[in-house]
Amino acid sequence: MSSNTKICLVGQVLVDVSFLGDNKEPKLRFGGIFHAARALWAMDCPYILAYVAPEYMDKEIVKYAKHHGAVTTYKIGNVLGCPNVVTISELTEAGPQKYEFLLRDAQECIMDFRIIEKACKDNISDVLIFPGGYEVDDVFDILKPSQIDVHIDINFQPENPKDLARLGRHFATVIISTSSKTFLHHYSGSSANFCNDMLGKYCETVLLKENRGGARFFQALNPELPLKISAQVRNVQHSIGVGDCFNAIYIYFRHNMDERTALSYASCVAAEYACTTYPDDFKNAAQATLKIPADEIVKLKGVSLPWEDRPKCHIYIAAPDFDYIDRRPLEKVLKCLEYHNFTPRRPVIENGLMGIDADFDRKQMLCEADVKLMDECKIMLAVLLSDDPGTLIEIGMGVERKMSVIVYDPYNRATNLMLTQLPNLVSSDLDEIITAVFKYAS
Amino acid sequence: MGSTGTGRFSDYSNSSGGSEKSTKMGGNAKSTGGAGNRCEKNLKVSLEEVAVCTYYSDHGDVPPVNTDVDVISKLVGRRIGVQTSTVSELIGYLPTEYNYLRQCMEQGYSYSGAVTSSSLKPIPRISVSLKPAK
Repeated sequence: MSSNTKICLVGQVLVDVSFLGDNKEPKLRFGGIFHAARALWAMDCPYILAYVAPEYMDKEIVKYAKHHGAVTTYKIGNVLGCPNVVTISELTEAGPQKYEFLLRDAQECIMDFRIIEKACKDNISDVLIFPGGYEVDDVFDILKPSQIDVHIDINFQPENPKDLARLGRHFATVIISTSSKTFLHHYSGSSANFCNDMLGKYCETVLLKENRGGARFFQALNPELPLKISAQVRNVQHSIGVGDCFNAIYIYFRHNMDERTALSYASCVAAEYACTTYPDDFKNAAQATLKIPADEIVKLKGVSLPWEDRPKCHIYIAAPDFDYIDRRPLEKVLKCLEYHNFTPRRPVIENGLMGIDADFDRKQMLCEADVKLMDECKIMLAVLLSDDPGTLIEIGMGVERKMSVIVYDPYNRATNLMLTQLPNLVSSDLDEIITAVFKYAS
Repeated sequence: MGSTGTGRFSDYSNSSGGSEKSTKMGGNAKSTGGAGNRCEKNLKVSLEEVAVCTYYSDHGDVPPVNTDVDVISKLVGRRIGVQTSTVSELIGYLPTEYNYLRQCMEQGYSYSGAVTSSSLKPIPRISVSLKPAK
């Protein structure tokens, strides 16, 4: 790799506390820009940290950073009034992430301009900025007259993308995720809206990360033809910082290879980051990824499912979707599907509940309507809440029609031979279920 | 997940300086999460796209149980393929969740085994068991 690449990571350091459930001890580790830092350490890429954090963390930050390859560590701002602790209760992002940033409204940050300037003059090739929790304008002002390539992840901040103008020149890359509120609300979840506003105005390139659906890379010169990069499917242990890892690896590799290859390696290494919280295991897997030849990494099949294409994927929900039973597992899986922009179709809700005294004609009408709805769907997702014969018959119909049939079995009820063997997947693990939806939808 | 506990930071990489400690989840905070090396695991896999592979195209059949098979070390198109050991005929592809084997093979592992079940209807299906070697 190029010996001239040295990346400055700018942002806050957090303490991530993950609640693992099942009477397991919570997991505590550094978050914020340390996710990207671990990625660069795993690649043996020289980097420096320009961080903001409360004073109580400083000693540990310097120690941890040094231990994980940081060439230099600069504290560019001191956080007051807030411990910079984030609690996480939904680890895998099968559905909405449940983050809680403690005392966030009380957070203040006193920036140190001299130190920012020093960090930006530390012979760096790239700056990767993660805004949030500090005055990013101060960093823009100092970078404005430099020639350094500036990349920014605007997943959380700035809330108004017009604030990017403050840099006074183009960002090399503006990065955003499809789960970002800015993307969903400000740009109505449209990559075209986002790129129209960004490319050539604030930046040269846009990296749109689509969670489990891969990523798209748009260039100002040819915005209509983005590079599509597959997501690699893994047994995901967590989703925290996986996108940050993707950013850092891409920025490192872009100096040494074409964008498609750099993004393909980044996608694969990021998938490895999601598999473990053990730094050495991650580094070993990341290094092994680099041994895969470039011509193979760009071809390696994965999941590529753009955000805007997902609503077209209608998913037939086979379940006792009745208001008089406990539907919580069903509601959970529906939330996950909606979070990822799929279109679940609920026959009972759309066509109506039969009613115990329904006459023959109504029964026939409902039956035909449900079958018609099945015709409109590519995938069947069955939820085994009880031994509901309707659900089981629908599963059989789905298999016979060669639909992709995925069975969510939250209570581990499935023991019947046909039920366990015929569907594409039967699982009580929601993460596996969502992974399978992406796989069969793509 | 990896090392646990809220008393101190514990996810240091290998070597001194880290605050490693034994945990309920992984034993040692250094590596592997207690899950073992994934490259060294035996696998039982239902292959994909059997109907479009050479073996089925050429024979109109699926290989019988106990046929020896190998995982092909280079990609076949965009995927990791499995072939018969004797005549190197492609019988199917590993599901993409096993793409990590490509990394394992770069680390010197190879995978071979046998067909454990196969059937033609309703669609051609093959399951194989695979064992790593290094």
